[in-house]
Amino acid sequence: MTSSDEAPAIATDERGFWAWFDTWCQRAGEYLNPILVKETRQAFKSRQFVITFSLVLLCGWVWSVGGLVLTGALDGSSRGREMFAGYFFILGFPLLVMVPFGAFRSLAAEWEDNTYELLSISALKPHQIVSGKLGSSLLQIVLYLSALAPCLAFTYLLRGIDLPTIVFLLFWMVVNSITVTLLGLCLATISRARHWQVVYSVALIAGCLWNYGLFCGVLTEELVLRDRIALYMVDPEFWVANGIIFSAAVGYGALFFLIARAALLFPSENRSTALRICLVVQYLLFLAWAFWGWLFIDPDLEVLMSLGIVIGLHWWGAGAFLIGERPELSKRARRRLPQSFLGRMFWTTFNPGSGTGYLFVLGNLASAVIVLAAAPYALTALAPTATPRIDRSPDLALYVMVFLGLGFCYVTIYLGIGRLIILAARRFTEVSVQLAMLVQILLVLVGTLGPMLLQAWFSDSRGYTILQISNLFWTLEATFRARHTPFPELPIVVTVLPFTALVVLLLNVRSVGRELRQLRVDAPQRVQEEDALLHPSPQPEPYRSPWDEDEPAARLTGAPDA
Amino acid sequence: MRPMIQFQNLHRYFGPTRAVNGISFEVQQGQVFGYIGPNGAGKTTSMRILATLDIPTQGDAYVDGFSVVDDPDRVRHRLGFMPDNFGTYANVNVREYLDFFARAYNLRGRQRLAAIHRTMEFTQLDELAEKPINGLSKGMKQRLCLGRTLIHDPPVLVLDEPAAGLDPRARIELRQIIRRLAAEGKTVLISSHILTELAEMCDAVGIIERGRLLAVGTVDEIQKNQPGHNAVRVRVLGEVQPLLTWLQERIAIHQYRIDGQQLIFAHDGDRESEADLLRDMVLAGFRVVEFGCERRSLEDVFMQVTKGQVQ
Repeated sequence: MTSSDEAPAIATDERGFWAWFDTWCQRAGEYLNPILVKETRQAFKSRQFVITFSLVLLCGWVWSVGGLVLTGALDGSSRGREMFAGYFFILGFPLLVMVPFGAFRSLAAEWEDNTYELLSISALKPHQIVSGKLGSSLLQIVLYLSALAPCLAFTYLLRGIDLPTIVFLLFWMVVNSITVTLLGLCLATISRARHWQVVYSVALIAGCLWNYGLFCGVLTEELVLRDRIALYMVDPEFWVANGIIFSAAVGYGALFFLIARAALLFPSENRSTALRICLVVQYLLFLAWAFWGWLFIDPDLEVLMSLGIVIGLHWWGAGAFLIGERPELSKRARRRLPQSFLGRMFWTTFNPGSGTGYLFVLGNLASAVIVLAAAPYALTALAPTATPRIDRSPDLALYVMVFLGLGFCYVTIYLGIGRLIILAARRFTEVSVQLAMLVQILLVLVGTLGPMLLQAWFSDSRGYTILQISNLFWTLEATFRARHTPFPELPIVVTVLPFTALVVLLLNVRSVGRELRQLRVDAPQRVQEEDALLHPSPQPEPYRSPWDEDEPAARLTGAPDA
Repeated sequence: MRPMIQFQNLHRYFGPTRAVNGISFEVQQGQVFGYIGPNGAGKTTSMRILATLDIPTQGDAYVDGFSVVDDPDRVRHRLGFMPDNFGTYANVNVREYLDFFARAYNLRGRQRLAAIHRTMEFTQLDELAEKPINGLSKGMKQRLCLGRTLIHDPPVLVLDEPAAGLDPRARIELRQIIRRLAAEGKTVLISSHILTELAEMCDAVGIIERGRLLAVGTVDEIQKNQPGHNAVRVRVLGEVQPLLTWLQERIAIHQYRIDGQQLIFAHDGDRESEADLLRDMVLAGFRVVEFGCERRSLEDVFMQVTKGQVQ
């Protein structure tokens, strides 16, 4: 009686807990991204996931047995490092190849299967669509990690590898996987044409395999097998490099996310402001890390110039896309334009448009040139005795300024000419942002290869001549080396390039000015009506003076007390 | 009263092709509007613009007063669109498919379950709830897509060729569903090639060809606006030719055909003028044994209005 009576009681308790857990999961599921819910349901029924997951498990088991025999761990020696390297390679394939490519295919298939249109007309916002796909990939990452977690714990027990190293390496693998997944999602949205999708998918799979080989190969070889991680961990440069790489991964991950979101937004939406904010944040993060490294690790002025090159490439690449934006602002985008004087002054260049994009890039690049050129002077003025390793001679600082200034002129000229070409082309045909980028690449190629071919054809000289002034790479390289190698054309270069930049800037001024003069417009009356209905503004309390109390008033009018 | 659907001088160009070329019309709340035209006329393009899947080159379209260009999010809440060519997901059953779209329309908890139940009942998908979508027939998939369109209970429905490829039974079922939707007060814009069905269920129709709206209004109005909108059939004893001569002297006859002792001709007049004509014929000595008037069908009107041109 007792045993048979107790059994159902226990079972009831268990059902109670599971019923509660089930209800809790259901409630939590209400707030999950719908795409994540759908993709999880699909994945658990799909053969692809089952096969990949089983293969990972199988490889893990095979390596657990085979690795022990091959590495000689069975005789009691500490072979945790070798075993970990094997598991790292096994885990890397799904995380660095399968998951990013799966995310790319998942989004690209929405177009191929005609399901994207159904998504886009629902209440789902583009960022929800991208984050849903990303969430689904994150879930897969967690599942693959959990599948191999016992194996990774096993390597720790085998000794030879410590817990911080395992956590450090897994952390970077997950960061890498998420960043590449975001790149995959971004590529899936850039073009919906089938031929471009094929090109992107081939490029992505090749890139993922290269990334997998390089990442797993270098990290396991350098940090695990040679056991150098302990040495690195006490080196500040190692942590600065980690900080820069992490900032870059987060920054570019966010940028890929925002590009994917922008590509999915309705054409009348503001696609640009969020991207521009992200670009500025990336730039500031890089500047902060770079300065820290420059001040405390390698305070050479040439390092500042190298930083200038990276920042110049960042803004030139961003500018090549931004000048391809349409100059007209939709009424919807104009509803949210800044109105105040300060708002207009600081935020106008964040508005979408080709001209504002051009100005935005030049403004940020100019700020970089000023900051980098002023850094040595500022340091000398503020802390004359600090960081004595810094070369503080004034001619060197001037030389840095000339180099950075020439770089700025090149960006102004190439982006400005590219922008004018795109504006002219728009009178006859549609110009996409990708095409604008191609125009910019072609311009630089013509400006670089053209004079080189001319010089090779007509001149015997193999050195730099003034003919190469449009060749930004050769001119900047010659300027960079001018400290040690004579550069007799420098006076001509520093005269012609700023003048040309000014002319190109002036040619762009009129059309840029038109974009800057855009003003905010009111929402249509129908929108205002609905907003008033949905969010009624609180009615102000009628003013009541102390003499307006109800009771005395009632008494005065002779109304009976309640 | 504010129209639920409004096209205002809508243009959409694809390079040199003017897919939609200055379309303007309105659909009032509760109306079923048939959108007819040959293939490539611009129906799907204009419907896609209304569904916020494309943007016009010029002009605008409004749903419940909201511009599809400037306020697509507000339009999407009010509109359910059933495209002519829609995709489904692999490894998903009927209930999961509807559940996904209910979530995508921000329906939560019991509200979502109720919406799924209501939709499945309305579209008679209850028995197929656990069936994988890939295993559904064309008619079932059409019903599922209509269910997806209805899941958030939108006041405006845009249905692009919903009856295409359906067997007669599924077509009749679909017609019944659309009638029920109209009875519920939904505004429906529907395109179809089956004109007899449209004529039966639509309050108004628009005929489009080469991106231009050629005629718009109720079927009766369009018929009346076409020359010779009635077909009159007269059978007399004896020769028909004298009757034709007599008629040509009295009224303008656009088209006529002699079939034995029977004369069939197009006539613009109303019922009274047709009665007067019969009376005069008899008084003029014609021995009329049969006199009938038939409204020209929507198919006849469509053939008369359009020229079968594509771009």
